[in-house]
Amino acid sequence: MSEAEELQKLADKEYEFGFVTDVESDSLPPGLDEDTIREIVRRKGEPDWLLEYRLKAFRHWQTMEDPAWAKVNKNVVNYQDLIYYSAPKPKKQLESLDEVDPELLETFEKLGISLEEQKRLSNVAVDAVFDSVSVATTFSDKLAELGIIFCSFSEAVKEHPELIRKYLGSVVPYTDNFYSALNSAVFSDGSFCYIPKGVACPMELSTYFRINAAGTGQFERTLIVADEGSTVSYLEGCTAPMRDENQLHAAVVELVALEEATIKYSTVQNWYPGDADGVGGIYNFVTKRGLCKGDRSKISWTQVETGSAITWKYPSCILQGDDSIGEFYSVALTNNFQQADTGTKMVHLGKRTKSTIISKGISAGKGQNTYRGLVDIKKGAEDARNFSQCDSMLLGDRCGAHTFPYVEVRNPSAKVEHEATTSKIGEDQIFYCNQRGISTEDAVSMIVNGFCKEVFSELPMEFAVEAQKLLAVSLEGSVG
Amino acid sequence: MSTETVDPWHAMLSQQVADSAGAHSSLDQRRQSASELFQQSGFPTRKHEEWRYTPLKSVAQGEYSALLPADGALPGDDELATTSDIRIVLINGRFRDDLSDLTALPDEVSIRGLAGMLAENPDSVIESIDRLIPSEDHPFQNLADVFLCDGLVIDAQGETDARIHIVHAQDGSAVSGSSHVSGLVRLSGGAKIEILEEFRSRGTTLANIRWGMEIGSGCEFSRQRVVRPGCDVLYHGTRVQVEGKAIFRDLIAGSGARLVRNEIHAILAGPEGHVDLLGGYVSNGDEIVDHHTVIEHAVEDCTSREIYRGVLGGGSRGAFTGMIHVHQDAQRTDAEQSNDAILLSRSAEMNTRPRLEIYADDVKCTHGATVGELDDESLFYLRSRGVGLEEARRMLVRAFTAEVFKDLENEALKEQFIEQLQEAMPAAGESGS
Repeated sequence: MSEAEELQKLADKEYEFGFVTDVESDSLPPGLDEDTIREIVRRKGEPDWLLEYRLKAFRHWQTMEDPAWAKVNKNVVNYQDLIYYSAPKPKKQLESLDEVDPELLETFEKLGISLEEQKRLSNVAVDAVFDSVSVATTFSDKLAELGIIFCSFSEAVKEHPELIRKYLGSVVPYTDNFYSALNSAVFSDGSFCYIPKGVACPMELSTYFRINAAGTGQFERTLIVADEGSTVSYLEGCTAPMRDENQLHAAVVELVALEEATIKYSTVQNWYPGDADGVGGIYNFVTKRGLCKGDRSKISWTQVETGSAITWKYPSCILQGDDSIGEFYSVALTNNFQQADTGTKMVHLGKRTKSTIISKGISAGKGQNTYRGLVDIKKGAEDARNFSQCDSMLLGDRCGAHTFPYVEVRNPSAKVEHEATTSKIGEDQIFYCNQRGISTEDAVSMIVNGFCKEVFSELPMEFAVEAQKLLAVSLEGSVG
Repeated sequence: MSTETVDPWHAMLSQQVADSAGAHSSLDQRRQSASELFQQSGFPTRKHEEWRYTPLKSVAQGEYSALLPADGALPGDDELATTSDIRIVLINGRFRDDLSDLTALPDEVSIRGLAGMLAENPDSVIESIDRLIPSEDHPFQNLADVFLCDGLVIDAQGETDARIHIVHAQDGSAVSGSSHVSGLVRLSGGAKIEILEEFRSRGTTLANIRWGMEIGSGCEFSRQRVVRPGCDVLYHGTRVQVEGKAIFRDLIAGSGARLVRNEIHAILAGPEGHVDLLGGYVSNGDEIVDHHTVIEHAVEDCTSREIYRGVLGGGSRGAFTGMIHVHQDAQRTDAEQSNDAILLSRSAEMNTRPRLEIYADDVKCTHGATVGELDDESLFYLRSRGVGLEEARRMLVRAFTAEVFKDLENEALKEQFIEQLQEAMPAAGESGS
């Protein structure tokens, strides 16, 4: 096969995970007003305090405007056209996995996440969110023995209202931004995790998100609280089926690390990016923030972003406790017409707080990749330390790589360093590989993987493998 | 609230537009539209992204709204070790023939006051202003448009090499106020020009200076700017178009001004052009130093280098915003940028925003930014060898800023720049570090 044909074949390759599951949906009609929120609360059987919270958020949201500062081109989202609640119809109370809708199970099978398989073979507890409502939770009993609470957000509202009331909105208040306000008003479901004092969670906790019913906005809410001296590693991964219209995903993730606690949050994001002409794809506007509340606490974000038409998120750390540590490792890849505006905020409040930012952006096709970050050293942050590195790689001459870091220092004892580089894969490098019998495609994949190694090494084992595959798949057709 | 504080400016603007009407139709139009823009937008607040770290509240209040008188004395003495024999003096924004000395001017170079040019041949000079300083909605550009009356026009054609010393002086000893200067530089035919631009002031003054430049193919333009202690508010904007194989070099050094906003917009419009932007400063008290640069790599094979270094003491604030924009066709671009700052005191503050916007794939772009305090270990090293604390601090600051002045050929001038910065250093005790 000639090179041109081969490239054509690769370029024609369609999104692997694009399929629609035919499950009867129990959805609210499109539109959003206070009655919609009351209806969500009624259907979910939520308490009054949560209704109050949602309504307050909604009222605040109405006073806000859709932000336009990010370096992205997007269609105007009509928030009245979205469906704010959609649940697979419960046929009856489920007692085991066998009773789960077989079509649902099949969907997970196609994605390579067999609950059965995972339950039996791996050491991973899976809380699968399928269209806003949790369908099955595994390993709960095992975790319960240690006092770890890992359940859907709705369940947590019922079972552990005191924890939810204490921590909901404590890191990302509904007033924070347009999308967090919207999420606070209409969030459907999500995950809640509480690790008690001194417990090291024995397994990686993971959630697979998936958007299904057409035109459904997905508004997840994740809250993780790590009590004193505990540790937890949480994995989040997603793939979404093919759609022609833009779908909005506005999740909120809040992490709270108390004294000497460690939270590691890893994401592999592979929502539908739209086709080669830029039609369709997910708008991924997510607010993620962690609070290092206690002394010597640590929060580490690792993300591999290869999907979505537009990715717009800044997983951040508020380093409040003395000696607390924040980390951000990111790989963002944009191909075709994808746009990514992502980065982090490290807010240093406590003494001797440390943060590390490693960001790798890869642009191919007509993709636009922007790193936007803030390192904010407040007055009281004695001896704070930050190191940031933002590297960009350009594949092709129609794409763009942009860097907009903000560094604000108000304490002289701080040491802040920022570095950024931009480069491309040299023809000599490709030639070197070709000479040794490595195809151009493989060579690019190899070099890109090397470029991202610092980030991949932060990922848990299973994810590291998946992430490398994802990069290779996402880059297909971009080399020529 | 905000409209009240801007009011004195609005009144001044309307008056100026009415007074100067009828001089020249296209100039009238430019004045009129700038005035309208300013009436609408006024001075930006800190919510404006481009002015996030530069509070203009004190400027917006009426203190500076009057125009400084046309006459005035030259504040300060000529101290700089300049090698140029051509000297230009502008006092309160007016070109002063009587204080300037153009006798050594080579034939290929012409320097004229803008007011004179406007009177003689308005069409051609206004065409040049429109081309080299296009209208934009910017508070100081709007003011400069409305109050446009004098400045400089520097032309050089053919192979020549001239060194020019320009003194911008503000005399606010009688009344406080502002002055507005527009300058044009047009180089062609391989001309080489070196300019030493000096800013001096007495009293409460706002100097609003802007330049529009075109550096023709193969030409070279080098500029050193020095902000002398005693300056109050200085806005300095430069828009420069650099053609093929041409070079634009700029260096700004200074200390002791209450507020300095330095804006440079350099466009590399021809292949193999080069831009060099350097800056070194020491700030103290409640001073604000803001360097705001844009380098546009519009075509292939150009290089640019940017180094800004600041030492901040007292409650002073520094800001750096540096955009490098690489257009799609600008292959083989090589752009370097670095911004480093040392904070000497607990209340000093540094905000830095390096920005890269890149649309071409075969490029090498790097930027680096650091903020920290004087290195304790180095201080200890020096002190353990018998160097006093103050001397050790001065040595370290000297070493830190040396990078900026490295390429300056005039050794005496270099020494003066560094000395000025060292003088401005707050003592160890004062800064509370």
